Amino acid sequence: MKRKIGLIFLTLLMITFTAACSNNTETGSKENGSKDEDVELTFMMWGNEAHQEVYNKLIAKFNETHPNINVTMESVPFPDYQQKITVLAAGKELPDVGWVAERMAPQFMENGLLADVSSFKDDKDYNMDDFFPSTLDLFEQDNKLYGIPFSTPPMVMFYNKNLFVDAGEKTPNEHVTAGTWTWEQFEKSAKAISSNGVYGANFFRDWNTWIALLSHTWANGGDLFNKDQSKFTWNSPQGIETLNMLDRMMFKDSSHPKAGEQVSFESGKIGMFFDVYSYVSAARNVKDFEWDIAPLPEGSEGRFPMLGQAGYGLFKDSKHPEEAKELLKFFTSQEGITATSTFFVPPRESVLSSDAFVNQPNNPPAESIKRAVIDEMDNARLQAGHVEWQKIDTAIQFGFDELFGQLKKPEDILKGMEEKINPILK
Amino acid sequence: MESNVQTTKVLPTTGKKRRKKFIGSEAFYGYLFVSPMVIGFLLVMLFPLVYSIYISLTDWQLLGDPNFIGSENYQRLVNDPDFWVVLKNTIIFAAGLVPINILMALLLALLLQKSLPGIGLFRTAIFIPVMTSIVVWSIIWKYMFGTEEGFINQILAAVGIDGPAWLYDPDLAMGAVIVVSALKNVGLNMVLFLAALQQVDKNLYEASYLDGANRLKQFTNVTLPMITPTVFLTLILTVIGSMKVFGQIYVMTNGGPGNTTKVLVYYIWENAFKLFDFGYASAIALVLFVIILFFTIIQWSARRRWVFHEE
Repeated sequence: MKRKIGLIFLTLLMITFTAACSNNTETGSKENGSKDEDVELTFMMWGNEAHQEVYNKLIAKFNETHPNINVTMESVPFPDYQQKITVLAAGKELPDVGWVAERMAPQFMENGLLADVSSFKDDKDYNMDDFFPSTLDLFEQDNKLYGIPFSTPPMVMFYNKNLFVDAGEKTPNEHVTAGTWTWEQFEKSAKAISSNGVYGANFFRDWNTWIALLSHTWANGGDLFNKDQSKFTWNSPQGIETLNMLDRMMFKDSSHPKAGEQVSFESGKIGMFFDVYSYVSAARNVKDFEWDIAPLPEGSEGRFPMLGQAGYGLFKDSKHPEEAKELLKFFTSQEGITATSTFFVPPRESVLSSDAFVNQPNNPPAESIKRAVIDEMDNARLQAGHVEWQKIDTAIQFGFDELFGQLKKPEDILKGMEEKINPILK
Repeated sequence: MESNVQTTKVLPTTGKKRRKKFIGSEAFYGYLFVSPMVIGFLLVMLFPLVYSIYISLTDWQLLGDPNFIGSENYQRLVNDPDFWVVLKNTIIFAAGLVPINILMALLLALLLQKSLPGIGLFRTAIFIPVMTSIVVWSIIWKYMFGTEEGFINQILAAVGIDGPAWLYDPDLAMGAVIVVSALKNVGLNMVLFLAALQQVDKNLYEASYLDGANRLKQFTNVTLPMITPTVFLTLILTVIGSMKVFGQIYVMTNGGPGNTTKVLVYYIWENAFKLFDFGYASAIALVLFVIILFFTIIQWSARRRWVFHEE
């Protein structure tokens, strides 16, 4: 133990030392440096290789107009991202520009890690009015803007067409057209297309995206928290029904994988998979079966896909704030957002309505994208984060472990979550 | 006489002076030679240890400044139901791992002490996991324990048994982690036992044989007493090691399902680097330090009772 803690502190110590040293030299060079001096920027993200390729091209474009700015891209896996940024912040080693997901934003803003970029509004060429105003809500606080969104994907359903056809079932899109695409129907369809080793549906990516299930609760009128986020309200008839549905699908119908099974949609063994639209970057590589996207099922109160959101933040204490701003401006300009819209649902109206977003190689049919993504933008709900999101997430994940292990009944699980989370919210 | 006095007067003083200088410089060089170790110890061990005591009295969240809050973290610890579960899990882990590891190592050492042709191959095979990274070892075993396509369940399926979800069943996960940890480190203890067994005086076996002792009696009355120093050493190392388990838990179960495999070090890590509660994490770390100290003192003071001979 001593050694482990010692190691951690030594590392921290070293980070602090190097940070202190490099800060000094940087301020020195900044004072007598001119605008054309070579500048190093770090851009941090959690993207996969396909994403990085797009950014490499984008950065090369950026260098045509800013040859003196050298941008280093660093990718950190999503589950570690928030932790990494926090540790870097403690060591004063933050990147200059980085991705920020919706549920990280409150913690970053609360701790003052992000710099104000509201000056972008004054730039006529940048045209801030092109952004959907709702997409900026996340980063706005006290009339200041602490980030710019680049991706606002609603959750959609990816489905394996072959499995439906083979089982002689109506596909989700056919149900949507017929107006019968309800959560009850979803459960029936999932059961109908399940067979040995093939599961009708999967809500989870890496067994921790329980948030996908909120769409079911919302569709029936429930919610995770109350309006001002002071109370946990998932322990409600609607929440219990959500967990009961998962319980039935896992253990009664065997239409959902059990914990510990790593079955991906790409393997062809999952009928319906819930993920944000950005998952197309992986789905486009599927060669073995036909797939499509559909809107989520609806409940008594309507259809409410969860809205994912990711943006760029300008981290405070950047050694080159002006250059970092230039980079951020370029990434979120119409050109930048168009480039990244190969994967991400663009927050700029001009790009969302363009053909470039829809007509990508191996994309699902244009009408499916219109129905499941563009038309659903108005129904989509953002699950706001919380400063203590990590603690909340840990408590909820704990409850799902109890469900996966059939240790407790859904009512008791939700009660346990409530008892743990309510004190955190106060 | 005069000359005698003079010499005794002069020689000792110069000798003393010389020696003083000499001793001084010898000590100086001595300190110089140990200084890397001492400075390293102070900087890497003692300073963080003392500092973590201070941190445990604050509410440090990594970002922002620590505020002194006295014993609040320790009060919270006593009232934290998760902490007691975690403590219980750590004890279960140690109680499972230590006997399995020691007995298996002793058994293997007895089997492999004979110098037969090719015996080195077996010794090496059992020692290799010790040199493997714990992360690599755990990842491989995680796949072996996989529910659908894991190696173990595939074999069970071949003989018609529907294998359980090893790492996701609250009753099985801890057992799986214990077995994996025991297999990882059994080689080290085995080598220590091998060395000890080979130092047992052969005459003792002959003498006991003439006295009419059979193999079992020889083992309990000759072998075991003669290797008690090594048994003591392995016991103390394995107990301390089992208290500090982290890697295999992090990789294989993440403390789950629920918190059935969450142990102290994992809980420290979770509080520090997932929830950024460094003050609380430091308080737990100190409790672990005290527990390990406690076990070590007990074993140390008990050793006179049962350790047969010690140099």
